Amino acid sequence: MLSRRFFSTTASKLARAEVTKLSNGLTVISKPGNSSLSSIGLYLNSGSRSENAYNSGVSTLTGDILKNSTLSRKAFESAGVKVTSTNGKEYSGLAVTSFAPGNSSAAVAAIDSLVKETPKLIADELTVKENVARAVAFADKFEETPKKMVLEHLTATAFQGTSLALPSYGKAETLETLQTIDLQDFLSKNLVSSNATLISYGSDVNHDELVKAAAKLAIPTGAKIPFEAASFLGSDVRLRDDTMPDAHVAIAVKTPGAKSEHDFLTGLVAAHINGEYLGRDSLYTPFEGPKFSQLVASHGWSNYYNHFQIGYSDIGLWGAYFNTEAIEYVDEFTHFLLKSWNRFSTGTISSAELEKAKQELKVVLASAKADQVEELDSIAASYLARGILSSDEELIHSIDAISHKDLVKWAQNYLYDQDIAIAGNGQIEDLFDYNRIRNDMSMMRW
Amino acid sequence: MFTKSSVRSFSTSIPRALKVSTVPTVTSPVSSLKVLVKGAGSKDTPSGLSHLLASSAFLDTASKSALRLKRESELLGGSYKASVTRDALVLEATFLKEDLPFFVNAIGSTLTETSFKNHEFNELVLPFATYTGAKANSSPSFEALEELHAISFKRGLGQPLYYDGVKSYSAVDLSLFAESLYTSENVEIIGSNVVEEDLARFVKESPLSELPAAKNETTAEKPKQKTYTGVESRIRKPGQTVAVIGLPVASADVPTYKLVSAAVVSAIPDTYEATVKADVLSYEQSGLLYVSIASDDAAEVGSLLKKAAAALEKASGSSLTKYKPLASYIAGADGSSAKDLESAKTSVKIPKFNLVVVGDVDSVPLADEL
Repeated sequence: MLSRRFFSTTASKLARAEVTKLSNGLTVISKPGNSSLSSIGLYLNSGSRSENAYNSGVSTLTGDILKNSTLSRKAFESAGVKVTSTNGKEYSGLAVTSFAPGNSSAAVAAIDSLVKETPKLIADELTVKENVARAVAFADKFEETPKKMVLEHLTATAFQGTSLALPSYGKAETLETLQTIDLQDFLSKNLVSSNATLISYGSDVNHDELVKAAAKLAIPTGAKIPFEAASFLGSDVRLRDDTMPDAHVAIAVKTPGAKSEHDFLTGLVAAHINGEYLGRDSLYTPFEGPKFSQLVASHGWSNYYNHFQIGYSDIGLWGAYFNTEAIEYVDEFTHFLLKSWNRFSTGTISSAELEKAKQELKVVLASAKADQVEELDSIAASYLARGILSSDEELIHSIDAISHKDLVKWAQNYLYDQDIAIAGNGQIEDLFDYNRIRNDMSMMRW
Repeated sequence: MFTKSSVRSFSTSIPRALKVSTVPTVTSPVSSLKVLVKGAGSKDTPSGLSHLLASSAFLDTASKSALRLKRESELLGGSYKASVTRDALVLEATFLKEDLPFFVNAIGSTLTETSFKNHEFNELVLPFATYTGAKANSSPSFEALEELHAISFKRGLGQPLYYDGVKSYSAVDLSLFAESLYTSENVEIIGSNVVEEDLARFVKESPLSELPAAKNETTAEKPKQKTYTGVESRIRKPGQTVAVIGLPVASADVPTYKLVSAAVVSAIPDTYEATVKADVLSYEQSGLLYVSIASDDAAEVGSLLKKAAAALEKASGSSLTKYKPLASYIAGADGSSAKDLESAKTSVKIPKFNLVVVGDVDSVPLADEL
């Protein structure tokens, strides 16, 4: 019953994103979509990874200044165009607009005038000061969100000593020292046409018109400065806090980046074998298929875990994050988690487990994100890391091609007996020392 | 929300009101189904019962166990969930396009042949519903909005959205209610990114075609929703402070009040600490305008609340046309269509509002001090 095809699925062509590169190097991407708000955003291929230890947070601050400007406020009040900004390791959404379908010209106009006004905005000392205070408050608040914070620190310890380790949103100590001159310096290097991408998502945005508008943006020409190389170091970082009710832990290995398409996709499939565990937040937890979630559910070891494959352009991280109130079981959880990873290398993953992972990944990759800004971020991160955008058809085709053998080979290369990065926060007294956890990455028997 | 969709009713052996429709979308390999069971929302059933019903969805049925359903859909990569709104019980599934028949059947089975076993009720349904209810209510913003519904409507829409443990039910109660609520007149099926003829055919071949017609053919007029204004409620609670101004409005006035909510949003300056939200919730029999202000700093809530009240007073009777663009953004953000705004009036006289404060109530002014 499950394998029979009842009707043709190839009748209509699948929608795919259009990509145009202008002569000055600026890229324009439009992706059709169904969300009730459309979105256009100006992205730079430089986030916190393009910063250094002395101007960490400058990319976030630049976005904040544009987002909080009176221009943005006016666009929101009189034209219904909401301007936000986002920041990642390798991208920053300088001005990301959301608007009701049919309002795209107002959004383009808002981006256009924000780009024009940028030099004036960052030259105003008072504006910079106000936004520094906000950015500091945001960075402090970010540190109080354990899940995000643990993943941030995981990246920081894994790539320590390189610019990839710098915090995505900066930190108070460096943010407070930033002045107009730092912003000017950062923008002169990064707000250049070959480093900029204009991305749209929604049902109503016309690609040709967007290309025309992009050509008019006041962005100076210039070449992109390549990222500083990143290197991985097996290490751990712990912030024990017994006043918190639970423990938050993330463990990861180094993998190739998103440019190594096959390895990256295999990593994503591997991440979906154990997948996400919602614990008591899902009614169906007791019925879940993954062997590891059955183990966790029957022992009550954890409330939540999730596996991830993060892909930067040249390097990646594959691993898991979990949190638990059963702090006395952190050691058991960690041990059996790593033992379940061993199964990938020994090839004892069943074909049903692999199939589940592949199908789940297809749905996840082909589904629209929860909101339009998240969708733009995901397009930006994926395009900027890989240099191309795959259509849904191509993705499904590549996922279909991943075999059991590929998975085992991937695991033996990147997972088995490899160094790990560990980050922990909360009541982590039962998170063992580095070497003891590292030993679980291999096994005494094969 | 789906007003533009082509709605199609079809008949199998007996005349039925089962509504099947699709939403025009950009094609993608992923489809989704949304099934609304009208009359099974939390306003229509004894309090908490519809949440328990939603928490019993996709469990054991006569033909398939919950375990088998979960494992089979995992193999297909699909997922399903059930939730409850004030107007309806909502069953949703997301899956790869070619798996449409499987998920039509899964939803159909849930509506027609759920077993409502005693042990499932005690071990899964009740703990899960109690947990989700308590978790939602631990958020002061949610609690304030619930209280606003309670004081603005009292009965019907004023009932709590989730099960709160005040009443006790058994698996038998659920099964009896399911029998009376899951009828072909109440069920509406909306497919997204599916071919409508395929959906209609699969529905016809699925257990959904066996949905019984409602027992009492006389479609009794539902009692009209009564509304109350000028009421105030303050709940002391440690943690974040939330103030909500609210006003029950007639369904026909919802578009006009969307403009009012835009007027309030534009009058309140951006602040980093506080979260300000204004919108109109639209229900079958009524709408509810609300302006919610939340912050860790109770004094800030107080001062923003004064600004919001002043903005409401200023908006009353004055021209609202200039707020249309902002209102269309607000409409898009809550998932409704900006087209509805076309029927908005240019001005409206705003009556006395309701006020709910949760948190540090001492630092927030009373309604008559605003």
